[in-house]
Amino acid sequence: MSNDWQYPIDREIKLFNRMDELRRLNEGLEEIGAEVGWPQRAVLDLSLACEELVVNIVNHGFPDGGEHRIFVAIQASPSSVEVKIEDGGIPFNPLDEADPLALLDMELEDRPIGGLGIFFVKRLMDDIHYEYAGGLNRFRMRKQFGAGKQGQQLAEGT
Amino acid sequence: MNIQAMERNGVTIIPLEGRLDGSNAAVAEQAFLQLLAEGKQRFVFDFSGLQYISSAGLRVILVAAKKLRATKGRMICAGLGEQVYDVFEMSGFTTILEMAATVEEAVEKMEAGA
Repeated sequence: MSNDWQYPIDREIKLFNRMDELRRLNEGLEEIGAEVGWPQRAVLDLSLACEELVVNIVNHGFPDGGEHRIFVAIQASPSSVEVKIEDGGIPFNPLDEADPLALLDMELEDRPIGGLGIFFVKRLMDDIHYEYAGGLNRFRMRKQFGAGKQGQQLAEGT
Repeated sequence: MNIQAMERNGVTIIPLEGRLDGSNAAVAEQAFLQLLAEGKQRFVFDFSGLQYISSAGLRVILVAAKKLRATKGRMICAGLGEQVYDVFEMSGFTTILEMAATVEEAVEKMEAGA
């Protein structure tokens, strides 16, 4: 099976390490979603996962400041997506962060501000992978949309 | 996001619209802190026009809740849409924050002092 068939859309969104770039990231995702026919909710979930990762890079990736690129590559089909995010910032594996499960049950007064972003990525996306190679942080994640429904139809159809 | 707060029976309503994310969370936080500095203590956050929230947006809500807890104020989150509700739930916010289905219900709860 060729990759072209699997992913009719293959696009790169190049961002600068600035918060106001989130708008362009989101516009890019909405555009792809509209072209390939994703449900609106799938676009929002994907937008959330991508935002959390990009915000992490913007906030922590380049402590010396300056303008840098963040590359977001999207391969999309009507029922699935694969996202690769690359940056040349300091090596940082977001998956090393422990899940904030203890935090979720805390009272309001005790709860720390933050620590949820990567947890959302793990909850919303599948097949998450990180490596540091060639001077780049390389993060990859996939998602199958509506897999549960298809499985149900298969079960009903037999 | 351009936030235009409204007063209703001594309750300050903050309407949130579109997306509350890393690019505008600071603006929303500033708007809330300004109202707090003016002496407002009872808030309803109106989420009915909000399509999307991220952890940066949640941070603003948590800051507001902590500030109001410290000053013995009160806030209710009203009218959450699907994505916003799910993110609240994933984060455990539905159990630590006061919620209402609509702004009207939230204002009534505030007025009743219940």
